[in-house]
Amino acid sequence: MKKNIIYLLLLLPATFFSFFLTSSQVSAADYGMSISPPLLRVHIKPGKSITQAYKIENLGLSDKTLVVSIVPFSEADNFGNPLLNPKTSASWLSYFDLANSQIKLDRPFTISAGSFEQLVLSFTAPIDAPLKDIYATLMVSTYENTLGQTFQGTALRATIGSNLLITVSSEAFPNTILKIEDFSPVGSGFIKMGNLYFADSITPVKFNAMVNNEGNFLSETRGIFRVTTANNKPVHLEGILPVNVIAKSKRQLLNPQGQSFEFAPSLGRIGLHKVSLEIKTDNSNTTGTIEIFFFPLKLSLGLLLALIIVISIVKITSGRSPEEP
Amino acid sequence: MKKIGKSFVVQISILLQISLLLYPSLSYAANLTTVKNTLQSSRMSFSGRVKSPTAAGSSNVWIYTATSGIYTSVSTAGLKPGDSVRIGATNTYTIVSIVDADEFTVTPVLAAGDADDGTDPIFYKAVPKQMITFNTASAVESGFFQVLIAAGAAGNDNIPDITGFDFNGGPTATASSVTGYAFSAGVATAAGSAGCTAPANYHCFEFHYTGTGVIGAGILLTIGLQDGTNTMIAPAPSASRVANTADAYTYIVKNFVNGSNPESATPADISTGKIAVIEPVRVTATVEPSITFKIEGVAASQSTCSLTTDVTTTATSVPFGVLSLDTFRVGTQKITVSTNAASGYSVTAIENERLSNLAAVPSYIPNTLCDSGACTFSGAGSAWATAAAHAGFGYTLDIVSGTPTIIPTVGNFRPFASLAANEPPTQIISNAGVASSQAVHVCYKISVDATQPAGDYENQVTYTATASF
Repeated sequence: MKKNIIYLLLLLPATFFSFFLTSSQVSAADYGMSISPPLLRVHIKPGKSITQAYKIENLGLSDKTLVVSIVPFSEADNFGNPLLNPKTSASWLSYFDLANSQIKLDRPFTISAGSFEQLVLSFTAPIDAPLKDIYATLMVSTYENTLGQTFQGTALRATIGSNLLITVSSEAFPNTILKIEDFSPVGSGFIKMGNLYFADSITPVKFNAMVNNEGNFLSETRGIFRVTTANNKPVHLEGILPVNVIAKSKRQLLNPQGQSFEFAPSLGRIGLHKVSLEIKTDNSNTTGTIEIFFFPLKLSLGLLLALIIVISIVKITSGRSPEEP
Repeated sequence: MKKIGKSFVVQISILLQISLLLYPSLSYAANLTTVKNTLQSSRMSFSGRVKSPTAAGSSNVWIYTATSGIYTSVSTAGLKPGDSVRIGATNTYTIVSIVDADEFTVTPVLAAGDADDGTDPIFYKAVPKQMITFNTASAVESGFFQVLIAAGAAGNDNIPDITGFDFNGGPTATASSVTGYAFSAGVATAAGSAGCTAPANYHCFEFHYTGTGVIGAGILLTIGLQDGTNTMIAPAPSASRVANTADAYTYIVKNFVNGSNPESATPADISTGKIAVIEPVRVTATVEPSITFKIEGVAASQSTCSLTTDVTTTATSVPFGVLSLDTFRVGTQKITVSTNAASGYSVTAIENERLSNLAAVPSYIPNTLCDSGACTFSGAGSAWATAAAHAGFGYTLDIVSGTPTIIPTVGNFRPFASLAANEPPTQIISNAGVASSQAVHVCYKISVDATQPAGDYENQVTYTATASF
């Protein structure tokens, strides 16, 4: 009996201590939501309709009341991020509807914890719809209208959205006007004289470029980054990351890994080279070209420095007067 | 007489034994046992040709579905995403996706001169290491093993052949030494080269050794390397091949005594086997694109954003509780985002209004202006370390996992954009590519001064996570 009491006395502090050691700093009552697909691109003729099914999943531990809405967006930056403003409105918002029997736009509905719901979004372009692009986000937001009387502090509302890029056009390939801008080497390993760049032949050169969509319709950046010799012999080929450039916006051009374009010349890579970016769309092409002269700048500077040191040593030693006997 | 007869028999017997020792009987080649040639992969190479409407500048490639000469691959069944293929004279491309039986996509887009109908070849080179194992049949002292592998007609032009393996410049040949066999480096000779003409149409590999040799010794000979360098190219489909059946090729293993000419000498032991190559089985599965967004509360007394939390938050609320004048109070939430969308994601934040007490005479806790008195909802934020004379409500961020871009960074505070003030939502977290559970702490801070009317204050912050387009 005594032994048991001793064990109990030892066990209690240990249990207490381990409880504090293992307690999590993050609370279990969480919000978790998933939407699929996150991006939809549609090309539709006036007078036609399409439907798209979305899967909304409640990954949280409790049932959630949600509300679905459509909000227009514009570009937030040069990296394809949308700027949503819930206060903005547009006449084409009436083109959208939900085909679900129980779930309607802007009306609350509930998803049980750990389960999912399918939203069937329909889009109908009227026969007289303006021929232009429509950029919107299908937003699924938490819905709360029962804040406690005594609540003070900040209440959180979470929204998850899927972007819609819709082109309303009678043509299969509406006109696109893409222009490559700000195409230049970046960093400090080069010198610019007029339109010609001079760069060291053993230092990798990175390139920056933007594409400007001056047209009224979305376009995709498909193309190639190419470095050629003066004889047009390709020495470096790289694809362009395909991204959507919405109308009247700019977008950063990147390689397929999402990085800046880069060309690593070699010691023997000396002379004039053309660096070009070629973008091909379904009905237009655009090219940006710059010329770079590669030469062994660092090597030459090293040799020059060595030469100066040798000449200095020779001058110093030869300029010394012979020692008096 | 009996004695004489007995000694005669003994003498004859001794003579017979001596003669047998002096003139042993001729021996004949035995079979090496348990001979196997295990290919690292039984995948065959691909030899097809470009078909219209393939065009330069495009990433889509169509192939001919009828054979012609050495171009015997007539279906994309022999290819898979990620394969590095040569198209045209020299350029190499990576397969991005298989569209259907006669079309696939590549990156980068096709260069000029690599999209000519019927004339530009498409080669995928399968380069399996070969491991030949067997047990010796006899003890041949300080001899050598020769391995013969079926060779293609143009067996050393570094492109896949349709009648055997391509020598691919010169594969590495090695052998593992065992008791009785101390091997030197193997010697590889292309079919038709000096010392490798008979039998015809076989590449030759010799593995010389010192030692007594052992009967029943397990030998391992290796041709090629695991990473595919210095390794022969597996054949493309043969001209007579029936779809979904393997092409079989002969290999021969011989054991010669020292000094033998393997082109003419009879080997001590010999065995013949077959190796087969076939298209890979392409296994496909679909992962739906999606974006996942989570918000979790953080307990009090935790260290987040270089601050210690004063209150416990939930996923839906940050209850600051009773505020002391000129004293900071901190609450934190954790936001986690995952997406397999290639263009990444962004999270924005906006408040409906300042923290408000909508009593008969409404009053508000101002949004922070930081210590500088100048931080804004859209700027990079700035320090806010002094509560006295800097009353307000703001936030800072700190990365918990992953490498998302955050604004403001830890230690810099700013107010939320306000819907009531017609300000647009501000981007607080973003990532330019696929993201796996990127997590960030949002640390809310508040302070009030003596001029703040008593009462309960509240507002609502909305976080929106969307994929980039």
